[in-house]
Amino acid sequence: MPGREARIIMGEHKKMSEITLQIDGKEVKAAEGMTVLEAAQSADIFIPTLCHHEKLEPYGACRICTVEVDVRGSTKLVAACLYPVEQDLVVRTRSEKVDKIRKMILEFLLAHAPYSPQLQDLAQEYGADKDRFEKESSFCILCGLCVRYCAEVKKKNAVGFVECGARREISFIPEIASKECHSCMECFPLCPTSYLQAAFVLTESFYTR
Amino acid sequence: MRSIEGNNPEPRPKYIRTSVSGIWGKPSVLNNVETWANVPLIINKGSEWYTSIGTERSKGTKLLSLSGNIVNTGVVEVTFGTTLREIVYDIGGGIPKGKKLKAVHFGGPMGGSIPESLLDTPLDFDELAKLGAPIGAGSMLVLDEDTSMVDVTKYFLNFLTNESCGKCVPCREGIRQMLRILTNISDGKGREGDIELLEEISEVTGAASLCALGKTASGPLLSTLLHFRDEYEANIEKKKCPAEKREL
Repeated sequence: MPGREARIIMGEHKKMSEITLQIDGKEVKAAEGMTVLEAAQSADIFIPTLCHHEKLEPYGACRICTVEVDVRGSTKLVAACLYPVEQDLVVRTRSEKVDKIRKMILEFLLAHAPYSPQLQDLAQEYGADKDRFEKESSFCILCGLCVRYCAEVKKKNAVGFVECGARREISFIPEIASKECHSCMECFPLCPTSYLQAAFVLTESFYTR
Repeated sequence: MRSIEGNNPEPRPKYIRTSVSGIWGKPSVLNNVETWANVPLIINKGSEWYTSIGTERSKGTKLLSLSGNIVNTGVVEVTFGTTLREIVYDIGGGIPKGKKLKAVHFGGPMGGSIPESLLDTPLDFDELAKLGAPIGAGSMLVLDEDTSMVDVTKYFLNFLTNESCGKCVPCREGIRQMLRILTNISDGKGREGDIELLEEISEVTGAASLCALGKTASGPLLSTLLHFRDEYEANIEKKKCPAEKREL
């Protein structure tokens, strides 16, 4: 996978070949190599995101940006933050299926972080019930913003994912965190739930005990 | 491939085929070993010979791994088109202790089950896929009359909870919630509406997950809901499983 810089250079290079696609009935011009999300944003068409950040590599984990595309005669549900634009692509940012997926994703996540303002706003838009699923003990929605920011922007890897599946969680690596985090904390404001801060403080407390 | 590259074992967030750009950005082919096992035969004996065996759309033979409640367990090579009944009774030697067959489960934790009533179906990718049971890598789990299909499904989902990398929300959270509901149903704490909720979750998980694991994680659930829905209903209504329960 090329690094972000290489990708940007490739994108710049390919800007010569401009392509036209349709998003929600509106004709949108985009450069080859752009994602559907980037094309939509350039045309002021809103697609919700949770794990996306413009400074970070596309990640495709929260799936809240799922949209419907018509491509070569078939309709597919794809993640807008990853799906590359192509000539004559037809994109629908809202549909019955898309809304159903977003509603349930929000309900899954509200079981973790019912008071996250970002989730609450989206829940209102999509009619998601924050009490549909039993509350979970962890606030973290595992968007990975902190993990990826630390790895990609700060190049420190002070925080990472541990375990897999439903047991997955974020964890600070004490040896790195104790050296790096006090002077940084740039990942704090990225967190949509405040779980991160709690985890950090917890780790810190172990070290100052 | 991500692991070989030294990265976390998570699916690549890309809409690019591995045959175009795979490991270290180079075209790569990733297949089951069992698929590769067909290649030397095709090269040595030719495609005409290979396609003369099997059915209209499923050519050649399949290596099946027979397991579960069957007399002869192990790997067998079967010509496509052989019926499931022949595989279970002629090749597999039938069900131990004279028990009746309940279902044949294909494709492991992301596969699906075929009930006894459809046992004359031929081994064929399309025929079995139509019934909700992908042949996959050829795992064929035979289940006798004492098996609870709800528990089998729960067992597979529990397995997938550990297999899911946990990166994307529909897979991680979908499996978590489906497993919770199934556990309740199995424990006699099922509620009205549980089946519909399971169907709704499996639809979202199947449509929106990042990789094939999440997209097919609800396979056993959907196929058992298709062929054994009454068993789920009985579990919920009577708070008891109609099948003689056996530890899995």
